Amino acid sequence: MNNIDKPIIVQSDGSILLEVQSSTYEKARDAILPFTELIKSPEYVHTYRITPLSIWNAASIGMSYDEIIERLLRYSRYDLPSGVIFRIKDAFARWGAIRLTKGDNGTLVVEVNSPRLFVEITSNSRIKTFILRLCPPQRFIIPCGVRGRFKHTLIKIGYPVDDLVGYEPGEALSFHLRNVTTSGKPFGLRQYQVEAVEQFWSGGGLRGGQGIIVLPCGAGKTIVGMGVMAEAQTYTLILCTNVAAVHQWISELMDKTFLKKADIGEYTGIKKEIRPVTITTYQILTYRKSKDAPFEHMNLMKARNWGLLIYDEVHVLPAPVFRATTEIQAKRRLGLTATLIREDGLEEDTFSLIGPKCYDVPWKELEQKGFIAEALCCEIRLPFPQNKKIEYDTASDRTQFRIASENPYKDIVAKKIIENNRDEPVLVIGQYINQLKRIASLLKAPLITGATTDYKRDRLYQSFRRGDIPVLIVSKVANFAIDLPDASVAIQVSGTFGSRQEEAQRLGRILRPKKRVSRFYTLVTEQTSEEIFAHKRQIFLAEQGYRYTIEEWSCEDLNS
Amino acid sequence: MKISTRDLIASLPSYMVDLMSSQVLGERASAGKLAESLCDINVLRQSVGNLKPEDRAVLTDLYELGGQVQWSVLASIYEHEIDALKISLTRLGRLGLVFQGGLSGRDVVIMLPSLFSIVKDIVSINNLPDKDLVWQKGSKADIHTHILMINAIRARRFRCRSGVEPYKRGWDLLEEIFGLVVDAPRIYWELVSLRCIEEKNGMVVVNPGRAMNLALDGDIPYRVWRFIESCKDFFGLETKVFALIREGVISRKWLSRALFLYFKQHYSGISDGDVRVSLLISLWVDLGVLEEDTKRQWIRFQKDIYIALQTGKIDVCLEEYQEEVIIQPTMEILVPMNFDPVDHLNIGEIADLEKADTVSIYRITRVSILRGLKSGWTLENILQFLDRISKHKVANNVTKTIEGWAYSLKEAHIIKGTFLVIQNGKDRVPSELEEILPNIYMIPDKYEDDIITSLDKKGIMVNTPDTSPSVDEGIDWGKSLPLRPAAQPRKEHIYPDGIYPYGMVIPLPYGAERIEIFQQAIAGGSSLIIFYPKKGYGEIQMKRISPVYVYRQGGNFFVEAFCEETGEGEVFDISKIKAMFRDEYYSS
Repeated sequence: MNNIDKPIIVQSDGSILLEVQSSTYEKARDAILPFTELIKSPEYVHTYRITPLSIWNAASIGMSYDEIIERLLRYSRYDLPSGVIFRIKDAFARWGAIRLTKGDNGTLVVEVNSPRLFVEITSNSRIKTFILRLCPPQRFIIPCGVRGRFKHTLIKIGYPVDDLVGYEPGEALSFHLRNVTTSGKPFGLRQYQVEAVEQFWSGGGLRGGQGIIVLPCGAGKTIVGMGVMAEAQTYTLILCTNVAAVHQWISELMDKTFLKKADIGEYTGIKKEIRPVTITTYQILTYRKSKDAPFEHMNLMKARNWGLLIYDEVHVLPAPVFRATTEIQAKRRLGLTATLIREDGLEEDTFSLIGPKCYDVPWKELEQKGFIAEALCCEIRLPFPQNKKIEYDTASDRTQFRIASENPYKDIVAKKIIENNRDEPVLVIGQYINQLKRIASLLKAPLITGATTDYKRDRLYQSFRRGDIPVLIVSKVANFAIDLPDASVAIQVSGTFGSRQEEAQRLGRILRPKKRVSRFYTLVTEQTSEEIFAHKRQIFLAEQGYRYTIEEWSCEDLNS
Repeated sequence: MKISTRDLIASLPSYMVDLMSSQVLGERASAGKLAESLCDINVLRQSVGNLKPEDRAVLTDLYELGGQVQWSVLASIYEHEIDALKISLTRLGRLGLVFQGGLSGRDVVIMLPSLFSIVKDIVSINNLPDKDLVWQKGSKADIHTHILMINAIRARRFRCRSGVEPYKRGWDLLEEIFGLVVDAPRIYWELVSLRCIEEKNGMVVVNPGRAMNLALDGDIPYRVWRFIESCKDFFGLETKVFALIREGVISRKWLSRALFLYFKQHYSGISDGDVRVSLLISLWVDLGVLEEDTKRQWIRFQKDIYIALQTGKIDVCLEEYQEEVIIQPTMEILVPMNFDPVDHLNIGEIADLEKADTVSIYRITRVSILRGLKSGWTLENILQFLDRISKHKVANNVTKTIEGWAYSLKEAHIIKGTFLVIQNGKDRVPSELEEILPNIYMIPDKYEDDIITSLDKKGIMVNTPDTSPSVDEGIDWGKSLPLRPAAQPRKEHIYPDGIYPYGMVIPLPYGAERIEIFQQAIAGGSSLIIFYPKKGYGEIQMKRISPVYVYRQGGNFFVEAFCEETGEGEVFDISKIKAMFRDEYYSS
């Protein structure tokens, strides 16, 4: 292979550009994926990044420094920048430098790999508070109960801990997946789902049992979670983002496993069941009567001898749950997410408290293989009605955004899109309730908002799934973990400024695999601040590799 | 100024010719015959062939130093092996190959001029390269980073002090874009030297004309410029290097030695000449001005650089530039290192540089598009340009977004024009002129001279605005090519004390040691040959004396001796005795 044909370019800041149209793209991608993080995957060149976390992730699955360098050299078009080599070496030197093993009488033994590091670590004021006893030159003892906090503190000072303490097995539970679902469809894990489960479980050894699986929306994260439960055969606590997601988990478990209804508990605002498999929400766990009151339901995490905790949509894990997680480091922990990006930047906490990323696969690849729907994104720019222009020009910045978002022409465009996709189930997603009510009234379609009861929501979702309702209008309550397998058109009439997370989640609603191409429309008022925010969201989707087209609709188009 | 062998022999005192001819030819001979003998190439070749390697090395040094060198220079070159040098020179002096222009022992050392062609051959043989040399294809300095910096300055405006020195914020911005890998300050100051960036109203701005010329000229002028800049502290160094290598191949060792000798000869204050030479050669190799073989033993000029230095002609099309970039749907433009500099410069007008790296990343933004439109691009030009340079079809969202931004541009115009302001005499203003404001008339383009002439005829004195001199937008690469050897000032060498074969005479020591020589001769009853000035003329004469008595008078020491030339007793002022003849010569 000539150097010029090699597909990757290693930049001096540790980012890696991977040319997609190279003949060796797939080989190169598979080679670098274990020790890099995918940052963006637009159409022609994907960007990965080497960070200490990504190196530690690689080290945790047994990859060596030499192997990483060899892989980079094999596919790199230019010489590797010396700074990058140094940083990889440095990160490697830190991995395994501190090992945590089980001690006597409820203690943990911390072993460091050099007397110099022993001095450095033990003299750190924050670490000192954990130490029970020093055993120079390279050991010290800490209590068992601080395992999570200790790891968390160490990562903040740049040292990952190789946690070899192991796990409490939890109470045993017979858990098996069906070959044919209760609804009569054949069922089995897809190849990438099997790989994800194997990577996480790691043969049930000390190296596995904690980590995060990154899969795009619609790729079957719930199935992967069930695959892990089948390996663990233990009581499991599943934490979700909302009640609809809880119900969805329950329905999936009932459909695809041999669990009985009596084995599955729902712990939400409505029900407080604690059973061998209990599904709850982050919201109920973090509920408290007042700002200073204790979290009433946080004890759920210790209420049973759980052997496995599953964090669904781990990228939105709230801080109190992080804190609670520090106390249950002896349990196996699985994080499921479509993106490791946290808007609050707490990626390090996720790494140290839930675990390293153990499986990742780009969205686009699954789309190409037909595991998730192919999606086309289309931004439709439309003008303002004349009377709104003056209102817009004289309003404050924040109000301007809202006026642009609620452009009444959007109602007409949404109607036209629905007419053009008459046979398709359509979701209309928006931010502002008044606007959604107006559209619901125009389209004579049901509306789900935060005020809609869970019962009514479930009923509407089911009707939509069955095809009884062709159009469903939803507010941002539907951003997360709602499985609407048949929705193939989404019309975003307004959004939360430039939120990348929201955009990914909303698009995720139409990514469940289906034969037809899914379409994601975003309606934007041209020459307004909405266009600027739409541009940010456009960049995000383009970064994810979705083809994004822009159409301009004139007043004539609207009237035609 | 070089001296011929005949002139050199003619400068020998007559009494030395006898001695030397006896020494060299084995018999007394005239100056002419001696000179003829010393011009015999075959004899000389044989003599040189029999020399010890260290003596030959001294000869090649003398050759490189131009055949004549001040003793102080030679002493500093052989600083740590001065005794060995003296021994070598004495051996060469005995063979009549090296001379010294005086009796002080610290005078000019002169190589026999007829040796030049022979030593030149030795140097050539030493620089005969291996047949199967493999030349390294190393890194070459280019203007890629300069274009990046120009584009960075376009995108990120920052303030500067006088002298175009950026404030801390400016440096921080540059560091943010270029990281610590690229030597951003050096590139910055080079651009200042080339006047591609300059200060305007306290801001660092790009001079578009010069920046474009930089891009158009390409890499070779820049490499030549860097080479000449690296030499600028040492007058004539670039021509020296050029003369040493030319189109041939030279051993790295000899190039280093020759340049070391150059520094010692012309810059005696430099104590680390060898280190500097090594650094300079490495720099020139890194720049791509010189090429070296894979074993790093041989050096030659890079072909295009040699042509540029020799003829002054620079072929800008010699470099193979990549002509395509990747335009991502994310509005990013990924520019490879070897991208065409002109197109690269143009990218900077319509996109903001975000990160300079192996592949540099630009982002098309609203601001960058508006900047492009302001600087004369049209929407159509932008889209056509992107389409031309893009490896793939430009994504729909990119073109549509650019269109949206371009259409959102609200235009205002500043009209440049010539206006006539007149308080009295409005009646004399040509009726064709339009009064746009009271007492202010707009003069149509190109009619200024006609109006001035017309008003002049009507007795109105017109004060015209000061027109600033037009700025030459061409880039100034400094020293013009081709390289021509710097004219050396003619230096007349005068040897009042005569020329002597090196080592044949020894200067007398100072102080008590000088007196002791005579006292020892008295004690031993031996005779001495001294070089003593003739009364009145200052001409040096050689006298064989047998000292009898040393005494002091009026603070000076005198020796009373029997002079063998005159057969009489004479008194010599010891302080005026220039030197003595060496014992072994005397005995021979």
